[in-house]
Amino acid sequence: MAIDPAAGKILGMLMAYAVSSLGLLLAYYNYRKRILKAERTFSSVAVAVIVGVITIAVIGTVLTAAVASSDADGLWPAITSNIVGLALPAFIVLVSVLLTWVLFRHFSRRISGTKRSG
Amino acid sequence: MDQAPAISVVFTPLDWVWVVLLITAMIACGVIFYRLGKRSESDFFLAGRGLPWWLPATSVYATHTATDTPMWICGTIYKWGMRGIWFPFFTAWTAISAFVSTRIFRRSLAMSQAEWQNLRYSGLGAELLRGWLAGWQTFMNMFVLAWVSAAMGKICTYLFGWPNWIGVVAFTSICAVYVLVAGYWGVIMADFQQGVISFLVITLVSVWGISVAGGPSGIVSRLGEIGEGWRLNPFHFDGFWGLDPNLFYTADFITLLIMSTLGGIGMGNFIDWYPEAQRIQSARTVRDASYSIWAGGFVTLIRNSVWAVAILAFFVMYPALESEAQYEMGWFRLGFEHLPAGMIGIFFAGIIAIHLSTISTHLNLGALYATRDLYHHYINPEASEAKLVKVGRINTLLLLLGSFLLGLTMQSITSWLIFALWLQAAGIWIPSLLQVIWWRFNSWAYLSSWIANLVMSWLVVWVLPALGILPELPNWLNFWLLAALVSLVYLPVCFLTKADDREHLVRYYVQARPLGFWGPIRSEAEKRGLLTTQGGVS
Repeated sequence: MAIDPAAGKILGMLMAYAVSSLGLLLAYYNYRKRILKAERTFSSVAVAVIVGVITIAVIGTVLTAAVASSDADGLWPAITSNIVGLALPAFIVLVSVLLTWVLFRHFSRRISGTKRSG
Repeated sequence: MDQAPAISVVFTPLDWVWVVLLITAMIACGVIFYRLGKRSESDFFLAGRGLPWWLPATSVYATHTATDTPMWICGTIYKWGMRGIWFPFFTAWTAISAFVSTRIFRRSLAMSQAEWQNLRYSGLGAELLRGWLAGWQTFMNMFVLAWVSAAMGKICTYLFGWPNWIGVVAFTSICAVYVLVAGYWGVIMADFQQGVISFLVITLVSVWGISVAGGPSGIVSRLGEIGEGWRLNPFHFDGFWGLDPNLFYTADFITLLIMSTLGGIGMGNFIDWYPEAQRIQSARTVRDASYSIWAGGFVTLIRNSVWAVAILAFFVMYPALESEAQYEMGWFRLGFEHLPAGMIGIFFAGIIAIHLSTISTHLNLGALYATRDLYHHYINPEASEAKLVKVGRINTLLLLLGSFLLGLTMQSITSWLIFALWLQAAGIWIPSLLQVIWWRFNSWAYLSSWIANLVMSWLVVWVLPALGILPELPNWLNFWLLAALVSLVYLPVCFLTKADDREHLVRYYVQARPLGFWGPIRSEAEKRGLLTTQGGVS
């Protein structure tokens, strides 16, 4: 199978990110398990920064995809030409994330009260 | 097997972004509860029996909204018009069950329906029944996984032209991530999120399709113009009764109505009972269990109605489809052919939500029977909680692998396994009622009804018609004929064998408080001072 050199570079970069992220995750998990409780690992400011960066990355990806999916020239025309395809799915994604957060908050007392089994 | 023709669906980058975002949200929603799932066997399979009613209620709805459900409902409504709504109406059994069998089962504290056999019956018969049901349920959950995954494979082939195995394996594996990690905690939380997503998407796509077809008034007038106005009448039957399997008789309607009402009194009358049993036991109180089963069934019936109207819209747009493989994809076509860019992605994400919510339940439920009833009860009764959670995870993985093998061969075996699901229920339908309401109905009678039903259903539905000894019968007659033939086995068995141990029955009665014909057991319990004459526990 012939792969375009540009696609190969992107694929290589993605693989590097994936493997590095896996290492990062393992390191974090090990640190939390052996040294600190998860709740103390990040301050509330750090959590806000992480959530903010992820939110901006998601919005950026959605807008880039909206431009790539539209025949319109430019960001704003791309948004206005397909407002339904952006607004309704965004609403559903937002509802999903909010539901997850509400459920987690609702049951978080039980989670924090969980005794570690090893 | 007749294949649906592939359609050309254009997925833009925006559509894929929505799909990836929602899949990520769904997996995250299950995985974040892993610390609760690993605490004990009860947590891994019943979320510690502490859930408020709205969580299992949403799970009942989400579980029974599978990838093949819109195909099935589309097929019946397109073929039969609004009278086809009576086929999925059997869900109404939950309305009765919420006040009868749900309460009795929740009070028993059995983790599974197989375990309940040990509480209701005594001696060797009870043990044999528990083993039988545990084995049967482990296999049936694997089969349902395969069946639903095969439907997903069909949809992916239909949309993208992918090889069948990708659709069968890929999305089910995604689901396995949070089921393996968090067990029933992951299942129930993700079901809540997926149930909301799927209900929003189903409503959105159906309303869109109805509006494209000219709105409700446009659909009604168009049906009148093409001489198909009868399709709007759910009571348009082809006579009171008859023998033509291709007609819809009043006798079919009455049979379906009896099944959907009286069925709620019994336990195990429908294959749906088994996932419901798990949700009943996961609710924190008897009242929560009742509310959850009632509400879950109610939302499912609302969903059926929304779909039915959307399929009528599809019919007026494409009235001349003759192949079932073509018209059963009607609801998917409404979405994929008429939604704008971006919405296509969210529609596909909704289909994935529908798929995951069913798969997750059956992965966990099959593992429950394999772990609780086969491993814990028969192989290692002294196993620690950590060991049981580990075995639960291994069984989940085995079910997943088994379902892949079965799902990839599903094309050729679907017809006889669907037969196994539905018609084999006919013979055990009345015994499943009797075991709840009649103290004298014993384990040997119930076991014999299961075994006799296997033989009878093969004979009546397949073997005798194939040999020309019996004609192919309509559904309603098959049902009642099987019910009558199997009763010729279990009724004599019941009266020729001893009743269950009186001591055991009294203990069960005091704990579960069943309704019906329990007079002698109730008197015995009162005589021993275990119950007051007003019915309270002393």
